[in-house]
Amino acid sequence: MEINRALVIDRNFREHFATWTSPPKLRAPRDKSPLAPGCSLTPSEFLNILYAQMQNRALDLVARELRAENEGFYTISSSGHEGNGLVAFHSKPTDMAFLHYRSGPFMMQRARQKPAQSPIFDTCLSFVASKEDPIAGGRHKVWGSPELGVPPQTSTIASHAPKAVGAAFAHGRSNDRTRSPRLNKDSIYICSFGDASLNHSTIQGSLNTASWIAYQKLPLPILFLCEDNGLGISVATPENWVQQSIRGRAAISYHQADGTDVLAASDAIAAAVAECRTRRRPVFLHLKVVRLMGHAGSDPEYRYRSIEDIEASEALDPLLNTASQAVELGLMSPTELLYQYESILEQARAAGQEAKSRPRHESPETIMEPLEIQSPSSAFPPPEADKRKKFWKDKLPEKGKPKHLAKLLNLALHDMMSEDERIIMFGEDVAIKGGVYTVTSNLTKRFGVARVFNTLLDEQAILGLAIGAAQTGLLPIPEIQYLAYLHNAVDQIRGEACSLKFFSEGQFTNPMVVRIASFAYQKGFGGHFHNDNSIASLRDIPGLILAAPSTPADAVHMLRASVRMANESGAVVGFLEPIALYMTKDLLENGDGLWLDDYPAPDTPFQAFEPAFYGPEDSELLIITYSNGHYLSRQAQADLAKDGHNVRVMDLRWLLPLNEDAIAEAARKAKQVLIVDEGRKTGGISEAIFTILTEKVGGDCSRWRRIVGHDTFIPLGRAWTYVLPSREGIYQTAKTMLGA
Amino acid sequence: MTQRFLVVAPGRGTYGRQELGWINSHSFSPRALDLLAKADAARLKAGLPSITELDSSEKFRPSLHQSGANSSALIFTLAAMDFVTLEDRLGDGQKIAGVFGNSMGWYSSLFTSGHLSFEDAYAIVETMGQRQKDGLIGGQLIYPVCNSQWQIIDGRIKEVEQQLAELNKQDGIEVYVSIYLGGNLVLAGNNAGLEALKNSLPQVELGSHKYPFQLAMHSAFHSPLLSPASLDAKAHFATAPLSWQRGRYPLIDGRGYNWLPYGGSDSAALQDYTLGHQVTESYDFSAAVRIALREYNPDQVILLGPGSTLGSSIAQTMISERWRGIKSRDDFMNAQKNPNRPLIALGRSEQRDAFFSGLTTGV
Repeated sequence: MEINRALVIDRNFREHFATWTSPPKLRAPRDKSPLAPGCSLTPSEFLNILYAQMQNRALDLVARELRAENEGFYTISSSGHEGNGLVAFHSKPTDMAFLHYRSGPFMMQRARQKPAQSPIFDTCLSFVASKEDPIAGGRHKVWGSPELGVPPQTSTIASHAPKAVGAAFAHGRSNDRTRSPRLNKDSIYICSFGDASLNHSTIQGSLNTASWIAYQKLPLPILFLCEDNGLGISVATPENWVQQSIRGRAAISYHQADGTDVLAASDAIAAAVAECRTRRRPVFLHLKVVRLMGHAGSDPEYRYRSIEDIEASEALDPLLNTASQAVELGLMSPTELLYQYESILEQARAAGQEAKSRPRHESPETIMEPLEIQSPSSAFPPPEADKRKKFWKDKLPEKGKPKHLAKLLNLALHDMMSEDERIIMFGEDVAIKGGVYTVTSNLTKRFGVARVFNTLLDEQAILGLAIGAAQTGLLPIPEIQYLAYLHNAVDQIRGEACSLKFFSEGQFTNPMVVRIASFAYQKGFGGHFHNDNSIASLRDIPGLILAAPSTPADAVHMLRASVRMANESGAVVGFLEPIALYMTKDLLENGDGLWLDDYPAPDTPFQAFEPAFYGPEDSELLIITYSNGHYLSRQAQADLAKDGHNVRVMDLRWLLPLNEDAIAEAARKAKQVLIVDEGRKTGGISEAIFTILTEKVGGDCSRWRRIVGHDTFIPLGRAWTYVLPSREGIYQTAKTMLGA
Repeated sequence: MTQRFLVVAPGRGTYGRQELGWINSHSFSPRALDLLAKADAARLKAGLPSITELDSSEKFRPSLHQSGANSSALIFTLAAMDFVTLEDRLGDGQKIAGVFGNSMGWYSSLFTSGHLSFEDAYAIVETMGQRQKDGLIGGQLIYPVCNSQWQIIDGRIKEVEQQLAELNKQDGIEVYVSIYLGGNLVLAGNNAGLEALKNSLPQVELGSHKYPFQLAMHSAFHSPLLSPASLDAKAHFATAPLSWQRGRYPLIDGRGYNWLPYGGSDSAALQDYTLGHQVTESYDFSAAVRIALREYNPDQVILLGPGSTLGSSIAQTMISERWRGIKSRDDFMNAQKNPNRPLIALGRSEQRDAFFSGLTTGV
């Protein structure tokens, strides 16, 4: 048997039309009769669809040729999935489409809806990973285009589904002022995936979320496009699994179409799109397709499929079918058809040859450009004074008494929400309850349930909503109730939110500030799930910013800076709020009020990414720390001062990126350094700081020590005191270091 | 390997003094001469001097050869003759990958792409030409946005666009970008607008020319000032319908939109664009070249005659595209020294002769 099925498919196509004897007469141009019963396409529309399919086929073939030349790096083909082009045909570039990897026909078709598009060349540039690839700059083969309403997806596992649902939901929360100009009031959101991915928790969660929302009669214009080719790489999908598992889902409308037959499928797909658009409800379009040319160019399909099975799929080749219909309908002669097929293939080959001469990345700097973190501008317009006064009914919060961290954050959120109508807040229990720790109190009352609302209990859905909302033009500040809960959904930040700039060269962003109630020290209550102290899964995410305020005023400044960075450079910020310090008032003794702060007025200057210092520069000992560690270190600092020791405390404030220069500079000035890290010993910040000291300061390492959390989950009851840094522990270690 | 060509039809102003006697000094295929006969007959029937007569005049007279009523028909016919001659002389393994044109060359492209018969495309040229026989509607001037190496200067196009927006705020002034023409902008305006542009655009000297430079005998094509002409033409062709055909070659328009052949283009949409947007909005020739190069990546670009002035605009877009590694005027000129030069101007005798003699079959 011929192993290269691309060759076979190409040959089959050519032979089919070369041997076509006595084709029907060409249809008269003035013939207005329908092409087929139940098909509303005009002849030129039908041919446009055929051409998009041909372009896609040509690109699949050229991808393999470039691979053979060792110039191309992507051979997952879209052949067999031509039906998805019909979804593009019946939708518009203002319908944002989150597409999976077999979406060539969709992209070719959508490119027909705008002038000045060059989808063939663009795709070739991405095959060869050229820097000039207009969407990802050669960083990944993705389908994407701002003009065509297609944000690039990296997902092979449908992890783009939560954001698609999020965008569809957020659409109803935006208005003409806040909505992205790329969208329309009647936009729908398209999310495509395969039948195998349907089993993934991301899709299952997204379907559940969609159902949960629509069940409450809230608008959710999302089209789930399940392209069912019956295979997930080598694993067959059980017969009828897709329809059986989907039909009967609450509030989701199920449609089916045969993606191998344009004449039969077109009106059915138009109806599915129309229902989604006009009724603003979730539609599940089950598109039957076939998989041609294996999973990818490198996939030895013959090892797990019989030749009969492979040939049976090839006999259903949708392009062959569409082209045959064109001849049978008298739209083209077989000769013309072959001429066009050949011309488009030549066109794609020429594009591939030109593309491979275009520059590739040759340095980490150019690769990482989109990940660059930009500080917020220090000069920003102060809020409109009159408007603000009116909002606060003349009782400006900065005129009030000093307050604890949770309260100041709450006031800051009020200020920001009244200033920027694009901000929306959501999470579990954030609305009327005001969150577990009252940080979001009264916000729903002031700004309405459209802007501050409770979600279902699913962190993946919350983060998906944040990503999606940001892409519709809003500025989401979602809340994750506890750091431990983030971990079941962290890929939404890791693989999705933070990769968007990288895979779109910054053309798409999903600005957001994710507030996360974090860290331990809750006096024995809650155990691991409410005291999680591990941020290792966030620390290495390229492009992510991590803020960890510990004082009330810093929390306000840092939240404002985070929102500004989200606004100005599309930043994704993880805002780690210390649960144990939310309500803390005192530092050294009951009633001293030393941990309360005045509310900083909105125009107070603040420099992001700078640490805070407490104590003189020329101290005997520098304690580098953050969050609860900062609080404990300040207590220890006072204890040590009583013993006559001059100790300086450095609150890092920002954990990602770490301000390496500031750390090194402070360490150089200190005789000794003690790192207090409430995170785990392994994978915690202390490791990074030690590395910075070694690389940037050098010399005698015995001058540096660390006190860290043990490599354990946080236990219940008083047991926690044995595994985390303490005031006494810091004091004792410092004393030892100071030689007392 | 198939040798693939993109074919570009020139716009107005490409028939000048040097082009006089074009027909006699070039060889054409019999089919081209048939087209000439058709054009001549139509001209005579309309009481206009025939193409042959115009081209065989003893002297070049701008008032005759460059008048709206004559210049378009002359250029259209000669370009069409070049095109069919080219088609007739292509051998096996050589093909036309796509066609487009600049400005009035759009009408030629409707013919070269096979979407309209010669007669119908000619009818549009005549009809649009007649809309201005009573005088010019505003005018056009040309303004460079590139340096001497034909590289577009960063931000310059935007600056000019902003300046137009500013000027349009003044009473009585109407100014627009008429054509994005590679390293130049063709600006259109009413008379007050043209004066304002001449007074406010920074003077630029490039080569031996000073800019902004007003184009003689040109109306404010591709701008809203031509809206009445657009409406007229729409009304005219509603009663004298054009017979749109299926088309034989891909056709790229003045927005960079790709119309596909063999019935892949909606005739009504094509007519609507031709008589509407194409007349009243900017003609983005740069986008047409860019998309043509990117999507069709031909072996060579062929510029039909008469004239060859459009060649530099095409080259300027090749440069901004860094197509085939061409990044400057010097690169382009060097590439042009190769036998497989990127651009063949059929309006240049040495290039025309070398090209036609290199084709495998001849007529």
